[in-house]
Amino acid sequence: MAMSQPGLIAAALVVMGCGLVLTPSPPGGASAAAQPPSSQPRRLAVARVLSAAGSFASRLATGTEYRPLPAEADIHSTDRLVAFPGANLVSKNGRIALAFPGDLLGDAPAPIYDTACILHPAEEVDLDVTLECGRLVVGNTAAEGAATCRLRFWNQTWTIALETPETRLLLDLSSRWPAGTRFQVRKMNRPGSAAPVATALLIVLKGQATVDVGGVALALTAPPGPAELRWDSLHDPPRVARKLEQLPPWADPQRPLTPPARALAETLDRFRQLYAREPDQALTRFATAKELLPRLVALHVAQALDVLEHLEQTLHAPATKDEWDLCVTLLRHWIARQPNHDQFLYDFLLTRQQYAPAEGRIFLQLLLGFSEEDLRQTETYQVLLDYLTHEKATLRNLAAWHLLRLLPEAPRFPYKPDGSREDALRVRDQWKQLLPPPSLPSPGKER
Amino acid sequence: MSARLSLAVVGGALILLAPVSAQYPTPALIPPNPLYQHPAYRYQFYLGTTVPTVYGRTFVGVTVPYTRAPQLFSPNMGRPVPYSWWSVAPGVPTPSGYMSGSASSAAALATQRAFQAAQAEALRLRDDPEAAQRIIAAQASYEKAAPPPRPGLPPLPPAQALIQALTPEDDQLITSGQALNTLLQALPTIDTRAAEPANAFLPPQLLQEIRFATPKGELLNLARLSGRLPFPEVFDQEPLRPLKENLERDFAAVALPLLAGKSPDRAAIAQLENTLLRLEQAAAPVIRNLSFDEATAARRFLNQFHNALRTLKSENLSRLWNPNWNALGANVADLAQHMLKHQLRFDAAPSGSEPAYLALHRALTAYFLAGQKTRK
Repeated sequence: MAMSQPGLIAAALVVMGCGLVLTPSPPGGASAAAQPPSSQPRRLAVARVLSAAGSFASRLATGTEYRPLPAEADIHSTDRLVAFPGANLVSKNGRIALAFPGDLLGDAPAPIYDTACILHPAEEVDLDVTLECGRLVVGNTAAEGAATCRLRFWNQTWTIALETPETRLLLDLSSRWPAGTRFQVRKMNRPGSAAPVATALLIVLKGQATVDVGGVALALTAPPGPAELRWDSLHDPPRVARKLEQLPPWADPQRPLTPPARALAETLDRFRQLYAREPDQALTRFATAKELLPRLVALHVAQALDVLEHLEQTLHAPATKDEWDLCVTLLRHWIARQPNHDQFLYDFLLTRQQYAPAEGRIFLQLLLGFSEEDLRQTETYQVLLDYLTHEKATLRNLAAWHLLRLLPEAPRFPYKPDGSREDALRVRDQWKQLLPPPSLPSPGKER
Repeated sequence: MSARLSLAVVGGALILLAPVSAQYPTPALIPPNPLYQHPAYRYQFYLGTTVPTVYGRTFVGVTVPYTRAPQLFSPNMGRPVPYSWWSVAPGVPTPSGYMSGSASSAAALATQRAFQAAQAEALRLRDDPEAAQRIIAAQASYEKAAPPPRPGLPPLPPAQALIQALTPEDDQLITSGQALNTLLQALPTIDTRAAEPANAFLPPQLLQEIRFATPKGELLNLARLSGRLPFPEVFDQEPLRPLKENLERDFAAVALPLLAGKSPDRAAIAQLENTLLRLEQAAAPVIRNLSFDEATAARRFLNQFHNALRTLKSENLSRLWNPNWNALGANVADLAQHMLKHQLRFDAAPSGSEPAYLALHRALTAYFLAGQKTRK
């Protein structure tokens, strides 16, 4: 049936009305309408490398391969940037510098293993950065006046005004899955799904800063004074700054390195130099080195650059206990770095390493660990002993890694992580004698 | 045909001529819901009619609210959900809503409890400003092979534990069996003659839902489930299914005399042991390929059989269960005396049996308090 002319006009008006209602008005009116749609983020040069070549590894947002950045190179927005300890960059306008000191001494309140960030085109601020994990130091490098940095992490966006030149502040971001979380295969980014717990710690090292946290401005000064902000993913953003009488020792940038930390720094620097010269060979050369320290550095780098193959292969037959420990720890860190990383690792195991789905689920559950309630059940230990005899060496090594921590007497019967299944069977029989007695009654036994 | 047509015409005319209030009853009285003015409780399915009374028109029929109203006008306001005597099996739906005192299906209650537990956990984490730091620090400490000391809560003094068992703040204390065990331990101190009027009858359905702890208790639990043992799913797979069926058969041969109050035959116990051994050997390679939760469930089930077998071989089990209770039920005094004699304890309530545990707790509390009053 053909619609009459008044009917057409009415329908057109209704459609226009709906359009007016449904289309969100851009903030800022006509000027904001000129901005590109947010679905196509621009890739612009927004900063410059200040440190030596190879101190940053960069990856395109849509790519998978990391390349070292040469000295003085431009850093582009949307690229994922992995910063090795000692890396530095400065914003395009020169007013904000970022330093990435890492945690060579390993005494940060929450574990820091690598630092990765993404820069964004700076609008109304001097630098816009998303910290994915790790530690960074933001500094005001303007000749005079305040400099502003927008700092994003997890679901937070903080705008920080570094009020005076030389003002510097430090931010640590760390995350872990709570022990006992059950691994579930789920759709990526499904709202309401389980997520790791994250904490962030911001401390003003020098000068004064004003931090806008969700519309609430908090004035901070270096110690003594209100110098610290704490955030975590379980609570609302902070509304009050904590007062510090002095800088905590771990945050002091001037403290000397211990001999092991110095050795680690030197090895990392050797890796950086090699990575800058031969990016395709550096990781392999370090991973196959005779000395232990380069091999440990290779594990750190593999985790930071998402080279999961190397971590999985190392876990298959680690040559030393240190590599075994570090490999498991780094995998636990990797799956907590972002909310979906556990699913990525599961997909990787199934598609690239030919794990069966059940093996993939066991692998992830062994990384997630066990709650106190689990550890009160004898069956948890029995199942770990069952996994100790699994055909897959990685599952055997993960189960043994837990049992060595849960059975205090277990080290009496040494386990060889690069041993055969028969070796594991022998150790299983010895460790079986060490199981804790069953506790009765056990709440929720039949659930 | 014409008569029907004329009837329809007359009926229609009467409807049109009738006053509006007769066609659309006053919403203030239909349905009789005290929270009717609240939109969430306003719209609900109902089947019935209104009738005039001296107090005005009132509704006669059945209403099924879409949203359950809080129990503001229920006699059970502020009290645990009453035990529904007709709910004999988990998952069987029972009437729910404010008209039935909030008695609901066992499955819905279990879900509700799980949701409450999750909410309580979230609240606990929210109230603890250091929770996230503690979670991450504990994980980092575990990775460094230095597990933090786990200081368990010190046990409460007996008097305080008894007060807590009599007036638990949380149903979890009852459904875990803890409050019931504390009351059970305290019962020998009361004046049983004075408590006799409060010696409540415990019907067979309620007794069926109780689970016992201690090795003898675990054996009794399995025996009472004989014929419908809750095998984990893995035992239905091909290499294990025949052995599972053998185990069910052999266990039934042991359980039947046990439930009749006699000691099982030695030969039947030996046969059961042999079958269990074969099942365990066949299950070991299957279990190590199961996910953690499935593997622990399978191990737990095998452990229960192991413990039961150990008890069967080592103890005199005559009169471990009173066969009359299966049909006639028991009372609180009988059950308590029997449990103390055989050193049985209450285990946690299985999913769906929480209302039975709550009812048993009320009965035990009343019996205990009645015995206390006269002693003063």
